[in-house]
Amino acid sequence: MNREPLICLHNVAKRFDRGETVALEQINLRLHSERFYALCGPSGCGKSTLLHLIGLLEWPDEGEIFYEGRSYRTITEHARFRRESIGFVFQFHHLIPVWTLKENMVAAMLPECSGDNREHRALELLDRVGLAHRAKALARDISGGERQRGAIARALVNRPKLIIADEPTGNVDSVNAMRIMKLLQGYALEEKATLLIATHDEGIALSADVRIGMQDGRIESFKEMHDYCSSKDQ
Amino acid sequence: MFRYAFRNLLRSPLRSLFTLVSIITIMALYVLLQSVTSTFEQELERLFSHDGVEIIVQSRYAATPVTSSIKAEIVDRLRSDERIAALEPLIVGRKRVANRASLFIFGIDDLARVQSRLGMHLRDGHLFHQPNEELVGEKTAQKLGLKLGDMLTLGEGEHMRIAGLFGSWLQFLDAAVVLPLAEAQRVLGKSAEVSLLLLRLHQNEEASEVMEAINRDFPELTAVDALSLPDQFGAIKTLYRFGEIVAILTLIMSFAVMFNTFLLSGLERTREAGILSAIGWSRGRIVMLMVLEAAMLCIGGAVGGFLLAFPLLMLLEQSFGEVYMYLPDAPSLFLLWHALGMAVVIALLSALYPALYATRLAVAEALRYES
Repeated sequence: MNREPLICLHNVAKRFDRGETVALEQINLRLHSERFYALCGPSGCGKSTLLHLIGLLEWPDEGEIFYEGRSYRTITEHARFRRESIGFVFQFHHLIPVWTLKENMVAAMLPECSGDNREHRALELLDRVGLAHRAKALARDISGGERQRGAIARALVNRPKLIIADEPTGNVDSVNAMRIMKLLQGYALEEKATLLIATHDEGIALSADVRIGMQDGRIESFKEMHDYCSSKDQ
Repeated sequence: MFRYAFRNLLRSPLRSLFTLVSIITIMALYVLLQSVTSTFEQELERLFSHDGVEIIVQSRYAATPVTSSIKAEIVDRLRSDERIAALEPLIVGRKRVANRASLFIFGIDDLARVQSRLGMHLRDGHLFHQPNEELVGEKTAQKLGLKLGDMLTLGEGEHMRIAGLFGSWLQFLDAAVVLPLAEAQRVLGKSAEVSLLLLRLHQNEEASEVMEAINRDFPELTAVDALSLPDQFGAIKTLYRFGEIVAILTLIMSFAVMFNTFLLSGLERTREAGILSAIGWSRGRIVMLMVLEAAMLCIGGAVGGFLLAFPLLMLLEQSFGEVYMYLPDAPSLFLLWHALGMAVVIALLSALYPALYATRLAVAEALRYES
């Protein structure tokens, strides 16, 4: 795979508590377009921090991150970059509870979109995640599974090239978990987006193209799943 | 943006409601008190900024026009000054009306000449022809249930017949009684004195020279430019200062109420700011949303306060049960703009810091934030 990676991390490190707690160290990683990456590892190993750095929600203390060859350091409008390039799905949905589902969708859209286009796009995505009938419901009034599907719809509204999901199935039952994964994978395939998911669920990891294993703030393994499955079989 | 701001206000409906009620109450108080002072101020300005009157002469240490006293011989001496084209003496005083409130009495020498300046127009009847005739302002007539030809007793036994009912563009004149100068002097017991002199000069350029001469030659008097007269009276100055203090207090109280609400809200909404930032909202846009919420509350409070001032003014008028010269029938529209302007300032001041506080953290840190 010689083509330019979508995301490239070079010697990235992140520390908390004034440098006393090392969250990430010496992270070197290349993520290519149109692939599904599963980020696995025990709680506290640095998965969420890595996702935050890639999603430009946080800054690394060391190293550099590139998006399509462009360093994050050169990006001046962070919010705009996030809106245009990255769709983020959080473990706890993070919808604004006092806004309706549709308002949550529209709020995430590019300001260049006209009002009608926004409404149309919001309803289209809500329909896709099976929530069109709940478009006018306040986010606080719907179930956990519905909220998470709503959060996925919100992450996809701007057709991002990179979808980052932090334990998207962590707080839903198995039926909803399967539905959520289907939605994410289906969208990524259709829109040719890259999917990066942090998960504890080995079932999700098995369905990914690449399984990235993390331990104590370091990347321990990077395996194409075909090879991984073969080695497991042996 | 407005829709989101409105939704956010419904997050804690009770908190928003009580904040709104507080702002409405404070603004109503502001509009009410300002109505009194500003109406008076505007009317004085209107009265003295009229063409023709350049100089006003009054007692040097008078607190109000009622306490100003100028002796008749001084009036005669000033009349002989050739630079003065016209000199109009005016007497102002108060008299009680049989067990009712005290009324302002204006004594005017040549009513026909000053009628247009005061914006006076007869609604009914005629100008006074006989000594015991008077003109009654329409507000006084309405309050006291008077009509043309009725007798009105001023003080102890001064029976005057109502020759005419008039309206004017001066609230305090409408709430008063106008008599010929000599009659007013007699009724007020000030037979050889007047309260104010209104001077018109042949040449406007001589105004400062004439004022200087009067101030020099008559130490007991002050001659001032007509427009600066209100500043010469202690009571009027106090009224103006009172209005300014009320405005400042309103700003402070509204700011305190709003700041308290939004500081609490800002602390609670750090995570929400993180979410919005994560989905692509710039810091400026998030701050604007919070300021907009504050502005909606403040503007709602200003409009509500302005509307509430209408029934409050009516209530006040009824509770006074007398003709009260500075109380307007309704707050002027200019006070609505004033209140709206203040609302915007208060919203900016009170929501800016909490909004900046809520958006101070890096996005990931804000998402982890526990309020």
